[in-house]
Amino acid sequence: MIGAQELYETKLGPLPTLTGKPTHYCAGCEHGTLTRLIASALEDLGARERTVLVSSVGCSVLAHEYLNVDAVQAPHGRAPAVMAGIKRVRPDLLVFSIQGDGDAASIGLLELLYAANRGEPITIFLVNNAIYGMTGGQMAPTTPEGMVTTTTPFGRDLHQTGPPLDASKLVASLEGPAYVKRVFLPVTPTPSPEFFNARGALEGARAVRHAFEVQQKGGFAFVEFVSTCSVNWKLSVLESKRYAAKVLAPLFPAGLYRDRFGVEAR
Amino acid sequence: MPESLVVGLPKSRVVVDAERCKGCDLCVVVCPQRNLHLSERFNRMGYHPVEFRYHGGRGDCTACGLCYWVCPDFAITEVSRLRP
Repeated sequence: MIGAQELYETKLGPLPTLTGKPTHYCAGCEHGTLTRLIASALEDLGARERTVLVSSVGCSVLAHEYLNVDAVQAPHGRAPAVMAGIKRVRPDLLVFSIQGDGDAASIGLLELLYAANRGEPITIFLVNNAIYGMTGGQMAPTTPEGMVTTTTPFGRDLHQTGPPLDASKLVASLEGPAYVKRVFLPVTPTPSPEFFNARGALEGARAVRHAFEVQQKGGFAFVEFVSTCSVNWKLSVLESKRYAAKVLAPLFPAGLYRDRFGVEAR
Repeated sequence: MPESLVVGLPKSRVVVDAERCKGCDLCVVVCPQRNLHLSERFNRMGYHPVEFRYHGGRGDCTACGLCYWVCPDFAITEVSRLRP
């Protein structure tokens, strides 16, 4: 008897770059989506054996558990500095980090800006979910006005804390970076309440691949992924996607801010 | 009549690892053909895992792969097509 398995040919299958461990991310978190996008891009480039992941601090701290690449753990916010050191010693390696907005846009903002200003050939993926996720939902610099967090129980007041920080525009204002892009990663609601649009994940796959290509050409690549944090926003998974489309998408508009090597044009 | 209808096999299918699934609903709302739905049963972690239904609410699976790309927990392990 012939098994059903032999009758099918695999279009999309398990990725060897993923270790297969169950993730610690909450249900519906974009960190997991991004992990698979990175694994897929590394396999397309055939670069798994010469890739180094620099883990940051935050929910992305355990990314090395799920990606089958070499990894270094950086101090809080200092991943760009560690990456610059690795890349200068071993220019043949592909170096990247997954950072959160509390890591890259707050505590490690200076390292991010100076690495960008020097134009170090590294790749940084910033997952911006507008809140400190791992530590329990404190206000981050990227928190939108009026969002209730554990440190702003009456909603974020812009008179006291200033407007939300736009990391992509900040990096793109410098001369050094070669590739700056912002992608809206969550699924977006459609007019039909039962259907959501998955365009963000497909755009994210292209952005991840372009970011690695730019690094191979010797440029600084920075991709910001606007994401959700349903647990700390205290919403259901699908409600958090609706909230992100309503509040975060206008605040952090997706788009290409810098493309010096023209990788998007091809 | 196409061969796949004769033997009762769907043209495309999705393989779900139910023990990895956290029941976040993302693949369910993204599937254009309504082929995925949350199960009544629990998996070992206490979530309602996603189940694949061959003939969904709108039509058969087309192996578009949207559920594969959207799944944050790598629970959609395989998207495959029937060999011609």
